[in-house]
Amino acid sequence: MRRARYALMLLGGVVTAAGALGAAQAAQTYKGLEVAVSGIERATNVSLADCPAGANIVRGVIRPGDQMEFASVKVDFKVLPAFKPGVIPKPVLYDASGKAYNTAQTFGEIGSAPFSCAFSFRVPKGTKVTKFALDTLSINLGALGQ
Amino acid sequence: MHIDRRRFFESLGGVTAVALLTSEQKADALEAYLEEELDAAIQQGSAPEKYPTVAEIAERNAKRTGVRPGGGNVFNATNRDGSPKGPLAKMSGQPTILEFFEKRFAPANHVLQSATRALKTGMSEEIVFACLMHDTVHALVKVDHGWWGAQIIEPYVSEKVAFAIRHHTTLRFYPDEKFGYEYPESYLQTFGEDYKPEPYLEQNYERVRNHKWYDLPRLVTVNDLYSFDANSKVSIEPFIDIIGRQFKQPKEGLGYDNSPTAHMWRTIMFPDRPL
Repeated sequence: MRRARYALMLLGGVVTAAGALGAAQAAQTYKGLEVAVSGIERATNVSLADCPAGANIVRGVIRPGDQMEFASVKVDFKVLPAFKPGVIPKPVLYDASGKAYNTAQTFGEIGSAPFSCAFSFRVPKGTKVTKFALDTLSINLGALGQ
Repeated sequence: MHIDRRRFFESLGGVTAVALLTSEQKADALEAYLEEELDAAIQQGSAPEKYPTVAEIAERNAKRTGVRPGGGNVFNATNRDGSPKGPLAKMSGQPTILEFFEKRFAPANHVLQSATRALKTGMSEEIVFACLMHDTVHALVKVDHGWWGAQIIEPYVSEKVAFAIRHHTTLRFYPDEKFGYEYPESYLQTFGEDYKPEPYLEQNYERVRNHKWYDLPRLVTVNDLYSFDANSKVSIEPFIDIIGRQFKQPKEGLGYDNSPTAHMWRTIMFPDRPL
């Protein structure tokens, strides 16, 4: 019974995720990185791996009964010639009221190849998120299906 | 988690090799196998299909032999493959914290990875050092290790470092979106899917949450990651200067300085002494 419940929970996360994908946003540039958000997914069990994927392979969960969920923002990066390695702050997600949500994930070693990451943020269930920010860069999420 | 019996036996060297193992060695080998399978599942990005309940974990523990889960690493004389660990490295007459890292805490991958992460993400030196030390007391004891871990180093570190280490274990159970800290999936395996922190943890959480130094143990939890690529290379080298500034090494050596925790260092040094 419990096994079935978890299978459903995990499956639910995947189904919700698949249904929430929307149109990709126009790319913006931040310190030599071309950044575009291609979708938002909702899930209860997510990878909290570094971006791009590195040594950290931890996962986070929403515990059963918790009225929260993860909003996972899929972001595509292209490394431009102007990019110089350095510390990149963690991204922040905002809802319509301007409340900020932080992620456990951090940027790892960035090479020259393009990469994609899903940054996960713990938000109250059903929260409509409006903005994905990376330091001074801000991407409006309004056009993405949620 | 499904156990592939044939793969498990092959991992131990075949049916004949398994037949030579004692019950305790088999139990240890099975536990190690399950941990590796779980790690592999995590690396592949998938979640296990089932987590144990608190009752199931208690049932499993009731069947254990050898060292109980809360016991320190130096008291476990068995390797994961069932073979004896053999004698521990001899300590010098004036052991330093670096010597403990080399001869008792090694490989210490988890704390080195946590400290490396703290360093890379621009944490303060006190937080980097707290991350480096936060689980080293696992050599002595694992249960309530935040309290033990703070106590053993308290005579040698700042009050803030001790506070960070003491309370990180409590905060591990409580997500905090402001700091971007999530409940680790591995805790569903370790403590059970229906585990609720005991009242003493709840009470401590409330105290620490309202404390002016709340961010210190919280930043340790942010860098306290349980799942790392086993191939990731980390070293104590980048932290030697930080240790020098943050840890007041007693000239007599740890264990011989008559500090309130000298006996704890001696216990880590000499776990084979029966009394």
